[in-house]
Amino acid sequence: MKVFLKALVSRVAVMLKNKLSYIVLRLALFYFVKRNSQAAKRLSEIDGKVFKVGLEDQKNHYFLLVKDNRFKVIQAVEMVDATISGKTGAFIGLIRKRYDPDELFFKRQLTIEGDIGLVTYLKNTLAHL
Amino acid sequence: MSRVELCAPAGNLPSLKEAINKGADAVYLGFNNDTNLRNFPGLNFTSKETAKAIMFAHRRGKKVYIAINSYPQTDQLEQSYKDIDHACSLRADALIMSDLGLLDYTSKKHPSMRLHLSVQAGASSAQSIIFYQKTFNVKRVVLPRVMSIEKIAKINEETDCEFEVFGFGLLCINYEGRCHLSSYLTGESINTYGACGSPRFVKFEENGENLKVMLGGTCLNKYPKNASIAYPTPCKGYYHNLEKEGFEYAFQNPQSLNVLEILPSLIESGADAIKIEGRQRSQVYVGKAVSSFRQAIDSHYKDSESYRVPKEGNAELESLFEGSSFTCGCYVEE
Repeated sequence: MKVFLKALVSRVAVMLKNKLSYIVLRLALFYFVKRNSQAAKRLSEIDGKVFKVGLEDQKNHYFLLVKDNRFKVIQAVEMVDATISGKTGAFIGLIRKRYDPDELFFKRQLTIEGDIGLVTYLKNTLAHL
Repeated sequence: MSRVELCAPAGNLPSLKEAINKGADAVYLGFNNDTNLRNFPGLNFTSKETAKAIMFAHRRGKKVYIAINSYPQTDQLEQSYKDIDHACSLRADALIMSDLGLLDYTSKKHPSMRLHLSVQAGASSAQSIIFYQKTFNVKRVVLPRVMSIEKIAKINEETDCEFEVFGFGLLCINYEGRCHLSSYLTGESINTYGACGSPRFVKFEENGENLKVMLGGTCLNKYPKNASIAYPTPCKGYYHNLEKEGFEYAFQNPQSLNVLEILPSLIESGADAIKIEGRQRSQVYVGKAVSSFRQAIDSHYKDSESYRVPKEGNAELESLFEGSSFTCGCYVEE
């Protein structure tokens, strides 16, 4: 019984943590784009594309759909156009403009797969915001 | 003698503002098309952003140079002419150009526009520089990264043209304006399409043990786990040499240029401007690189005798470099 309870608590904690990071991610993306809606219009070039963002340390991932000049966090997809993976701290550092994305990539702290042209477009578009 | 100008790159408006706020005297940028040599997806300035950038810089007494430095084919000429006219109407402080036809067009149609000769023109002798001065009224030449400090000083004695030298950033194989290597793998050359190793031809394949880097279907390198990597261009490929029965960097070991160590002698050679490479890099890169160079240049002018490489600034630069290590390049070893 004790083991069962411990497992249950641990599972609930993981679920809450994932839910919380999901909410934080949605809010961060919303304000990130809202801050400069003019530059966010560049996202229309990649409308409909789906990025998988992998958080290696959390063993978790999110799917981001680019739609109507903003990002939508979606649950599941049939096809991913590109995948970007790294530790949570790396992504937070990027959003807070503490890290240079190329620097992280050159040092293998970010990995990218799939359509590299698309990832480059995303990187450069976010830099305008 | 006027102080050396610190010229910073910008691929977007936040980077331009960061460069100016951190102490750049001038910023160079390009329009978001293939008329300049950093034509990466999503990078560079729209017309409105360019106007905003120029206004921001001019209000702070800083300059903006616009690079229109590709070598257009006949069907690309109209776009180049349009961009030249537009850059002039926006009151950019100078245009950075390399193509003879475009230089001719600009010097005739916009005689008051200041012209800088791009590094892509590869002018590396006094005779060549004087030709561009006399023919197109070029005011400044960006020198190719193939020359020693002694040669730069000699050119300075032989001409009265301003010149700009690279101080920091990724090196290429120093065959500027003539390199078509990437076109053999992708069908697109930097000089006509504005990017060597365009990202749409790049593939990264991670298999747990190593990272395989492909360009246009050709494997350029296999990096072991956690090894630092460089952006994939054919000149940085790690190729199999059948003669030597081993792999080697056949063209160039990927290294970044950093002149902080030799900054005083580079300035004393007569350089009018020090240029930081990297319009494709982020606001963070621009901020750190400009701060480091601003500090070093100011320290040199304060007391040249006691100049030391600023430790903190150099560490910041080290965090940004691409490839395996730093080098002073051909400035000290041709």
